[in-house]
Amino acid sequence: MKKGFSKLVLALTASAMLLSACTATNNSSESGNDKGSSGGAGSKVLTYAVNKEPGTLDSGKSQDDLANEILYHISEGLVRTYDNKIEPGIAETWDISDDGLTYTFHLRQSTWSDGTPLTAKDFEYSLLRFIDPNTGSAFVETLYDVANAEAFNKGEITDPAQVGIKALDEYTLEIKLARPVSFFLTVLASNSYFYPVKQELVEQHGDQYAADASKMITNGPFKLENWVHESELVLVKNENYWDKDRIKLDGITQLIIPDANTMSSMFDSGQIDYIPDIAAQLISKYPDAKSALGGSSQMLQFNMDGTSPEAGKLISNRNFRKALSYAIDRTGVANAVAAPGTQAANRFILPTTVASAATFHVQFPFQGIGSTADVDLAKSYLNKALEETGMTLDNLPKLTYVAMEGRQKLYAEALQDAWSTNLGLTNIEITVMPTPQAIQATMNREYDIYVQSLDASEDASTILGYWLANGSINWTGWNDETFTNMYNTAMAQMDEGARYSGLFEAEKYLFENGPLEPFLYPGTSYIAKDYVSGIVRSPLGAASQLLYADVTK
Amino acid sequence: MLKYILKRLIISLITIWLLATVSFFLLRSLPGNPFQTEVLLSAEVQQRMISYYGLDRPLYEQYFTYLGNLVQGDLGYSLKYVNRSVNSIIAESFPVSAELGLRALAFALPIGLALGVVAARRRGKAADYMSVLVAVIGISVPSFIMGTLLQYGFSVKLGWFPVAQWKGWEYTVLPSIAMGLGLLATLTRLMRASMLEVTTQDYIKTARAKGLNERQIVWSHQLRNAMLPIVTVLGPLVANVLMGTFVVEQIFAIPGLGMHFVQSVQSLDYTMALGLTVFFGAFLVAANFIVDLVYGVIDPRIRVAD
Repeated sequence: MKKGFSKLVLALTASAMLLSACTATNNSSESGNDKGSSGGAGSKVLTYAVNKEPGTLDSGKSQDDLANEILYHISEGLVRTYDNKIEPGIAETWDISDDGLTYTFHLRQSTWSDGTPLTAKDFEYSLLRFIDPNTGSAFVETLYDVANAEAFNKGEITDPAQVGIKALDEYTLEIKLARPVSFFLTVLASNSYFYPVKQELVEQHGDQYAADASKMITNGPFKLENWVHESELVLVKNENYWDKDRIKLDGITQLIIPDANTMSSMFDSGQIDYIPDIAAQLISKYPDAKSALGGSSQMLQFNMDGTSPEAGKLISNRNFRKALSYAIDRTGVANAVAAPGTQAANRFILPTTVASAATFHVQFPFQGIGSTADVDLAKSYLNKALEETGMTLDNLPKLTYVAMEGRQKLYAEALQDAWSTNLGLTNIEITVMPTPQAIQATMNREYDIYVQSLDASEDASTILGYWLANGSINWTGWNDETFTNMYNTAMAQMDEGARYSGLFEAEKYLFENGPLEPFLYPGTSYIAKDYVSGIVRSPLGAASQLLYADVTK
Repeated sequence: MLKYILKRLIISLITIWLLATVSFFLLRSLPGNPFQTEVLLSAEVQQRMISYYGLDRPLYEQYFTYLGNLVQGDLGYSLKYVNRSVNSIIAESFPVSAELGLRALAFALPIGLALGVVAARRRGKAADYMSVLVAVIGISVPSFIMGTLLQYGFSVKLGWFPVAQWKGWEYTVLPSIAMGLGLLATLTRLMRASMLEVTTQDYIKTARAKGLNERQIVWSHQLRNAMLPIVTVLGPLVANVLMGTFVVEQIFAIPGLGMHFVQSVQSLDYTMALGLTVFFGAFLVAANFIVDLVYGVIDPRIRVAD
């Protein structure tokens, strides 16, 4: 048995040596592949990094910005958004009926990346698949304005022919709406759900459609050549794209680098050309970084009923909410703990939102709330609130501030600090939770204060529509008939100018009376190497729009 | 022996079943649902997604469906990476984590044990202090600091190795060391203590009295007995190391399992979290089983009877 032991030692050592000597990893073939697609003298490949893998590249089921960004480059819908503008995509032209209800798209002759023709039938299939209850798409509500789409999605009707999406012939697609939506093209252009999917592949791969590069075929300027999960997505130029002459890049490689410091080191050592979102702690390294708004709006959200009757009495007092709001140094918070590029929000509607004549902010100026704290005003609001509620500063009810892990927690700490320093409030307790639990808490109305972050880029009505009485995510207990009527009246206007000015009135009303206070417009800071040009950042569609970017090394 | 193995196999299966059951119900008792993401879905749509994935059926029914699939080796589809099955995610990520773990072990095991032996043999001398120093540094410097330092020094400053990613041999060196140092330190300390404990045993004295030379004493008597505690920890240690580490994988952007463990629970990806737990559990049980068999090889005294 002595020998047995020596053998064990020997075996251990041998295996250890073998392992350290074993050089060929199964990934080496992938790196070879990488070189194959992006190597070649003079080939123009833009390499950049994001911190997470997209949830899915099945456009109907896609949910996150990362998927949206990849799909934006490998797919093309009827219309596309570029640089905050709507451009023709596969639809060359379109007619809109006078009542605003019927959209007729005239498609160009184009093909999928494998060279097979792409027709109106493909769009009909893809859009119907998106709202089919058996698909399991999450954001189906974006298409509820289409005639019978909601009923079909809810299973109330089962015949897809009754839905207002029809291929009239090979290259004509008709979409009928249930009510006029003046920004319908923007909706179509800026969401990844409306890209065409190839029926043959969807049926062939079923649940695994788009799980790998080999399990999908798309029709965009680029195509997905290789996808090493949690590691990289390799996009190459699609030679079958109808407008390929405008595309200068031979490929785009997106690396998945979760750690911000690592990403920055890779940029510094030239392994990546572009960082789309610089982490706050690293921003000082890049004085030349540019910034852009992200297309969402963050606001303080209050639960009007409170976690207790006493809390409800306090939080539903408008002066108390204004006191909290005026005590915040928004610019300070934006600079200290928010993502670089974030701006103080003075009102709900985003500065990038466009109205009928100019941007909404230019056309309808409104100075809601200051960017820095106004402590005196905050104190006077607080005193009024105390008077009205009959409470005193030292026996205020406990208020629960629900925050998600991560950046929201930092916001919470900064706000708590501002409220205690500027107003002497010590009754606000922060509860930090993982994302699903925090959202559950807001749905159950087990919170007093919460920071809500909502996508608001499509139209001025987007951010306001959330707060209608009994709105689908209006978990505030504020069901105001006046506001709902103002909003609905505005939206019924056929004239765009009248519609926007009606929405402006609704915004002001919400600001004066609503359960919300404007907080921040989240942004991002980004940096690219000097030899990269043509990177477009936009609040609409994908955050990074690299379609016409170029690399000249 | 066969009977023993059979018995152990049954116990292992029961353990895994218990693990799957407890994790299933614990996970499902967490508040919230997987469709509460930062991009908000309305309550109605959340409900529709819940029923699309069958999460609104009675819990016991879901449990039996889950068990039924588990028996067939089907861990289901991830709720977050919606088109990828948990099996395929494990099949893609586990080899990466395992390779990293094996490399870390290959680096840590021989050096750690050797250092431990040297330290014990040269107790109180310079070599001992050196090994203790290595052990203290290895244990007290967390891997995220070690990883960052290695990355900064050898990749950014010297340019000897790539900064991150996992695409070939040169990519594996730094993460293996970053991960291996802690292991190395643990093994050094354990080996040293174990060797010292054995030194004072009667059979060593007997061996000396027999007139065996020092080499024979160390090799045949001391080392062999000192290995027992090492083998005991090695089972779970190996299982742990092969399953991936969140921190090192994150720093070096390695597409391993580590990240999935953390993310799946945070985002309530039920199938993914459960699948990983069961996979890890099965692996751990298997590792312990092997350790028990190895005991017999090293120490005939605890060889299992038929």
